Amino acid sequence: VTRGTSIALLLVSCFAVRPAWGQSNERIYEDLDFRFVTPGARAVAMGKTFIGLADDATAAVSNPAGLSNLLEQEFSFEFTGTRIKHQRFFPSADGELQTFGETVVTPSFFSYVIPVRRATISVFLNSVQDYRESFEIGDRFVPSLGDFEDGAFGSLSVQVNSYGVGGAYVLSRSLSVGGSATLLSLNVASQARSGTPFSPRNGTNTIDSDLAWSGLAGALFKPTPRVAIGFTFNKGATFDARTQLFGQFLFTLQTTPPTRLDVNRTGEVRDVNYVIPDRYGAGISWRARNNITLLADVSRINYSQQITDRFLVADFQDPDARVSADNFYINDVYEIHAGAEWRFYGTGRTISVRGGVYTDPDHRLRFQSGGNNPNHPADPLLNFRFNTGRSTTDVGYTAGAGITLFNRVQIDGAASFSPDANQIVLSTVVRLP
Amino acid sequence: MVSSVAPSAQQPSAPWVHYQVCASSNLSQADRALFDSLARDLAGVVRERGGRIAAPAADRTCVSVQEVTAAIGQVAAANQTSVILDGPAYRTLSRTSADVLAKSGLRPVNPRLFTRPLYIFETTDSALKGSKSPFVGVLLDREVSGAAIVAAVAAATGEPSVRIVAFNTAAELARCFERGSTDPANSRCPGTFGWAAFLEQDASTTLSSFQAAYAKAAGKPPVPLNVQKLRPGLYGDNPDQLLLIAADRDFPQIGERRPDSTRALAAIPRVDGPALEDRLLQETRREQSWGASLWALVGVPVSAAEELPRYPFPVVLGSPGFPDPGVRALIADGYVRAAGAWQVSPCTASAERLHRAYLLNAYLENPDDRSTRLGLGSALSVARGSAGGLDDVLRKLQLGANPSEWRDALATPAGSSATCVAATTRERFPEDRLFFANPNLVSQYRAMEHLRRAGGETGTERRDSLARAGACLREALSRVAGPSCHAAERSTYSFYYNPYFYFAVQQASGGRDAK
Repeated sequence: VTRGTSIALLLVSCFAVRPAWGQSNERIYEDLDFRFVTPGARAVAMGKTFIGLADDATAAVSNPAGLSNLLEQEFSFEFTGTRIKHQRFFPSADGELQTFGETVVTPSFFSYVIPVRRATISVFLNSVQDYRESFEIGDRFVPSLGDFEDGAFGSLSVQVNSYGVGGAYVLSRSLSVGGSATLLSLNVASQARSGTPFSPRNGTNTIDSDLAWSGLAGALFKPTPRVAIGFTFNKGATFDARTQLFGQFLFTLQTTPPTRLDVNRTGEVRDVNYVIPDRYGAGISWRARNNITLLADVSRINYSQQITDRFLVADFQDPDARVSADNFYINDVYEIHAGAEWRFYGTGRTISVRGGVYTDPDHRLRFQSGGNNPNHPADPLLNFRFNTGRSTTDVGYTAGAGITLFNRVQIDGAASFSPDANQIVLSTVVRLP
Repeated sequence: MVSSVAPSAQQPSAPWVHYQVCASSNLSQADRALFDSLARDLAGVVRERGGRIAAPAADRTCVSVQEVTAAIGQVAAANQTSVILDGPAYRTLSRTSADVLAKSGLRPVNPRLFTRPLYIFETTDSALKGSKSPFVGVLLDREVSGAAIVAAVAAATGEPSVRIVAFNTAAELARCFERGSTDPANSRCPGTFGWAAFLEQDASTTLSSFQAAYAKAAGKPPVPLNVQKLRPGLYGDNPDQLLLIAADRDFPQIGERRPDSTRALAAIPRVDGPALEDRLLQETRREQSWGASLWALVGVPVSAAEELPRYPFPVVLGSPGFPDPGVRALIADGYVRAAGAWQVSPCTASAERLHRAYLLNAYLENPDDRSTRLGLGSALSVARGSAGGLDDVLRKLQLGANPSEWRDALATPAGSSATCVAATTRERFPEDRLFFANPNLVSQYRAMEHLRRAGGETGTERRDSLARAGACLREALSRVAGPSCHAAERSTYSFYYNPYFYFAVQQASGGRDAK
């Protein structure tokens, strides 16, 4: 299983605005990096593939149908250390990027699995997202306006945890289905301002929490003893949150010519959504030899769901701008993951070496003109900010190793390197007699 | 009391008198079960052939060591006598009543072979090397006398007149090996030592102590002697303790380091006598290459750190000429069951080596039996892995060169209606689930369960369970190409999967196919 990165929330916060075009409209949640990574260092090391294998307790999240592979009770724990590398657009002639982010170390997964005849029951806790970032950028030159906009600064902390109960059921010798019901919790705390820390002009505060129900379903088909094909569907979730405006915002008086001035919106509250998109996945694993398994997954992530009715670019609430959610879009993407595992069965232990690669197609928030006022500064500014950044598909590389002791304790480590984050994952699976 | 169990001269109708010594109290549960099983089987054969089980009272089926000592001291030469006793009891008997035992003419008829690595270090003192000091400091298992290794060490060192000096501690040996060799006048060491040798079941502790002590004293590690010149074969003139040397062959063990090429492997008959000597010598003379290669294969080198568990295998004492092939077969079965009863993790080098040693014993006791041949052949195939080279050995075992074809010889016996069904109506997992988890696991899983149940059953129930276990093993073999120490239960988990070995266990446990 796997998915890649990015967005979800587009609580678009805003930075206030000078009456003219020098205002800032930084979105703190732009390109926010979701942790759509399958749990377990073993899966991470194999290019974050697991849909078609799903043969340990981490399958509770990656493909619950795979829980039918387990004939013993198992516990699984995971710790993750992530060096977030959020590349914020730093406008220049060549689209320079500036990297922000923090290192986050967190217990990221726990599951308990117990098989009962045809069924397998699991309970799990999964850290869907644990994101922290502080950033500060200076004034940026906007070529289309021939002027500078304000710098911006802020901090963000978002935690999304998933608490689930699930299971799997063996329908036949070659087919298992599974699913989980999950309760997702969101805790978000952000503060973003335009200007400088010594002279903030406007911004938003979003400090909120919410709960949402979700679920996932999967199937695992084994046409031959050496091949398994998996399918998963992860239902997304939409959280409701509220953001509070701070400072002066642009407003247009309909005069001739129009008069643009600042209005103080401090204390005003807006409803926004924090969206975790739906994901579909398919994967295949092939035990090419007794000690070699090759895997590949394809995942579709509906990032476009993040543009909801409550989508808000708070910067341009000026009615004259006529900017709406329809002016923004995010592409749905297909991620491709591939990996392999080599096992060395030995005296009382099995040693595994793994490697993999995955793609993370671009899914930045984009602006599209149409229906808005093309003569309002919002049009060139939004177009500049959201469409100047390069559209690239990131490629991540993973590697790891593990040891299974006495067929009871599996300890794995993995490292993942990609342009948006470097990750170290340690996990263990304990099989009870 | 004692006289009550002694065979009477007035019992000409009972030429075969069998004594079963009560199991020692310190036997483990598994050892006790094995002893009881072999004792029960042996008693059945005795009765079947008109023999008599000597018992002191109607409510007792076993005798004490003291009682059997008194009894065999009075045994009539014309009687055929047998005694079964466990390892601890045998040690007591041989220690306290060696003269009675010798006078009785009873001999152990199931000599056990234990393997252990032989390490030799040579001095780096050039002067000493030139002088060819014949002294060899040794650390040996207590069951092994210094005399037993003289011939082997002489062959290994090329010094025909070596003199063995036994040490009690590795530190003392290291001190003498280093300091004594350079300054004998100031040393309390008994001589100047050209070599230091170790022959222990688990030499890891003593070796590391020796190496550390030597390195501390000499400022450099001891130099191991390359013992490649030590050819496989029997060494020694002491009929009570022969040293059997297996070539140090490197077999691929996944994940295992290449063993030290300066190490040889010795197998020591712990209990033996002229019969064993004759037999082994005959084997060696008759089939030099065959015997050498087989011993070499059985003695796969392992890390010295891995302990060879001591196993108190039952000992059977018998009159000259005893036992006959039927009893030999029983003893062979006992070896197979012993191999299956170990509470050690399969697929470990030490466990596999023990398996091979006991399966070799089983084969030697009953070489015509198909299951023992398959059991030994499969164990050797697992050890050899893809390296192959077993053609000659397998031919001797009357097995085809391709293990995947062995299953063809295991057709369901005529008249058998047993099928591989669940061992219980409430099997833990339905068949579909077992197949989903691992298709290869189902038959093995059920075979093990039937075997486990058979262990606690008697009579018809036991026979049925064993028959079903046999059916499951045949089914397993029909799906699996060949024996494998590791089969992937799931990717990172594996299980021991050598159905041929379990087939041997099933056959040895009373499930032998009708001829």
